[in-house]
Amino acid sequence: MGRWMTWPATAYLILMTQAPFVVTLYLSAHKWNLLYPRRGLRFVGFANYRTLLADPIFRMAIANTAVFTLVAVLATSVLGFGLALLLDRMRAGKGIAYALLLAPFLVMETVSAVVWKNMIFHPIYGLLNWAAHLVGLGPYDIVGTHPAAAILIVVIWQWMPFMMLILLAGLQSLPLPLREAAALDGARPEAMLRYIIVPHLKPFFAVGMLLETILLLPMFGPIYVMTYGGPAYTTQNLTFEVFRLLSQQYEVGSAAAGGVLTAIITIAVTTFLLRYMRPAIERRGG
Amino acid sequence: MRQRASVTVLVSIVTFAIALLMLFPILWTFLTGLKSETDALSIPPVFWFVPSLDKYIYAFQQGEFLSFFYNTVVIVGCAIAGSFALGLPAAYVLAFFPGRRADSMLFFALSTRFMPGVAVIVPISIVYSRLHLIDTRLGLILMHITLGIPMVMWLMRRYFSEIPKEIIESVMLEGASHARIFWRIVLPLSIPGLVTTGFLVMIMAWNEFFFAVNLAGRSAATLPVFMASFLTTEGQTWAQMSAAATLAILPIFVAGLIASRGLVSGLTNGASH
Repeated sequence: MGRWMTWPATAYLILMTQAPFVVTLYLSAHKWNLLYPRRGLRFVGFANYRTLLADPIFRMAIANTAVFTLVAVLATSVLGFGLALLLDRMRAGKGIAYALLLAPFLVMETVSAVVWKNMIFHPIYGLLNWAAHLVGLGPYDIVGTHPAAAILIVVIWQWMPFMMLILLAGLQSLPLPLREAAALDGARPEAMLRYIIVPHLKPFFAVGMLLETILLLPMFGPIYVMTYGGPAYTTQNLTFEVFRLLSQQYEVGSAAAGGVLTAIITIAVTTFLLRYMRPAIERRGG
Repeated sequence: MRQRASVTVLVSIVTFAIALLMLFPILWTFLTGLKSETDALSIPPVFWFVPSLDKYIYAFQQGEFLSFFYNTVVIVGCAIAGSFALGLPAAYVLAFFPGRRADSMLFFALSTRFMPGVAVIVPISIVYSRLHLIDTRLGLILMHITLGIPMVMWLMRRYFSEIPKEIIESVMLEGASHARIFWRIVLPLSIPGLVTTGFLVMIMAWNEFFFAVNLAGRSAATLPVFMASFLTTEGQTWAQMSAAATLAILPIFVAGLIASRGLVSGLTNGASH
């Protein structure tokens, strides 16, 4: 048997992910600051965890992670659903509209953040302010006054196509006879949506929301570019907080503890969502 | 379902209007790259201007952009090759010898993909600096292979399982080795899948930012890091920034348009197993 053929991939993944995670666990129980190498590595047990969990900045990072993920996933689900319904109904030019709508998802996150921050949100030269000025509003400095909202707008713009993609695939797998029968029976659009389309799409919503949660929880680029976690740490999420502990404070132990806590939170959320959504996802497998 | 013609037209118009609105920031970036710096900063914005390719040409002449672009191409290319080298044999086993062990292997691979980067970045950056892998292309390639393997296994297992089992079984009866079956039959029959998967790994590696910014500095950094550095020159060189941004995302647009179908089927079909 060619079973050995899985070994190289498994070994590589263990070397690059499992092994470092074990080391992260080990480091998280120690105090070690790279700025003071002579102090070396000191065992401190759970002290790093206790300090982090008591730290208002770290707590804010947890709260921000939850808010960013939740708002982005819910908003992209609703908006992506709307787009998918429109695309599904289109007769002419569907392929072109599909390609255009997909585009934001393909832009690298630092480009979209730089472009939105400078060319659209800029308080003086930004297009948004020019447009607001035309109708007698503004000036706005969204990144300055509502930094979290600014980040979310960019993230939602970027991830809406992802949800649209998945839900459109769902709509297109809806058996045509079912729709036609319902239409013949005189089902109104609202009833169609409620009793046929939404129930059919449930597994697709589940998959899309699960994947988006996993992919957006560790969001980093938009925060790095739009606010760098500021002002005063108010837009940091967990990933950014660990990045700051490591690359600015050189606190290896605290950063490792933050990494472990992030992993625990991610696993907990994913497991919960999987359990909650599994019936919906598996029903489709039939 | 029958629709009145007016509704169909209305749906098309509304969809295109939204699509153009969504696309606007990208379109505007492309246009700004064709402007002079004064026009780029002008308020009210200049919609009619004499387009010039100067900024695009300058990006390639000035060396800085070019070196980041070169880094990205080399790193992404090697990452694809490495992910395939390790991921394809595994996908072969998963597709043709399914079972509980194969399932748990796949689950393990996917779970590594979904592990947050901060859970591993601390030891990796320390080990990298001890091994002089920090700020090297090799360092980023090794990390990107890690991210690519699960994607290759996940997507290629699907494409491989579409090959009729009878073909494989009959060749096996003739005594062909696994290596021979893999190279001579399975791979040639899955070329469309290989292309799609290759593009998806490319998109992911090309856009990856977290590891790039943590593990690479001036000499090995990729385009996402270069684009983020435009923050420091905020408000000064928007035309130049836009030209660089357009060039940085162009290869991904091409790859994305080719691979989008595969992305959807990979995400939705695979999810039911």
